[in-house]
Amino acid sequence: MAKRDVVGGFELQVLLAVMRLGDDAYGVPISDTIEKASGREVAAGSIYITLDRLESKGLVTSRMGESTPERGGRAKTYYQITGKGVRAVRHAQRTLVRLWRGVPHLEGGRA
Amino acid sequence: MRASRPPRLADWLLFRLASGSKRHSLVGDLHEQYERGRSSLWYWRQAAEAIILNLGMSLGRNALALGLFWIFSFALVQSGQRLLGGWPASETGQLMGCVGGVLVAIQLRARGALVITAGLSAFSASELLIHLIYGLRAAQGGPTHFAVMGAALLGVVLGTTLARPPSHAVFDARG
Repeated sequence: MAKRDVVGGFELQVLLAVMRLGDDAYGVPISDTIEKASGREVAAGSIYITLDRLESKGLVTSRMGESTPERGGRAKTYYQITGKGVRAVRHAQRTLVRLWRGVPHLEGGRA
Repeated sequence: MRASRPPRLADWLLFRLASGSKRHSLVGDLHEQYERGRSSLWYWRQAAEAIILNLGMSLGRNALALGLFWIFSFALVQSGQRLLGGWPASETGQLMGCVGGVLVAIQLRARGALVITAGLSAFSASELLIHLIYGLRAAQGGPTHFAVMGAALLGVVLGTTLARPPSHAVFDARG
């Protein structure tokens, strides 16, 4: 895996949210998913900056969607993970699992 | 539909100060969440964070692009000056450095740096051309200065056109 394709913590959260949401992955549900999982508010601006970076790395693709009156007539941008993105998530998962193993304080799921 | 509208000033500031190519979608997302019952204070906080994040990213990219441009140009001009006997190698190095700066600015999506380096490229190209045609000493007068400054102005206009936000002609090509 190229160094450029290694994803950071928040990038990984965004990628996982995009994977979970499937065809409905745009800004609002992505931030809702991360907020529900992490229990803290996410800045909409940081979601788009991260998605922009992931798109330039080729880990997600985007397409323009429909605009609705509740959005002030502005279109949604839908995101989809690419094969390269899936590989980056798997790599991050394997790295974390390897690091997790054998940490005495975390064995058996106890904090 | 909610009776009140999201803060217009926040939208206006977002459109002017946030440089991201997806800012229409970002504003749409904020509107959608406001319609769902988020407060005006929440809206202002999100807008401010988005502007600060975008400005920070933009400043970082421009500083990096201008820094790389300066190092690259300095190395080329000094090489021309010290290793290749000065003019015209030094001016050619200056032009190559400026063109390299344009390419770096496009690669890093640094709009400000693109405008500056495009202007400097045009300035350097016209200066080199005039010196090559009329000679180094013959072309020192006012008309020469007007010509190179005019070329620089054209370069700035070209750079501004390339970096213009609505079309994202250069930057969006990279995704």
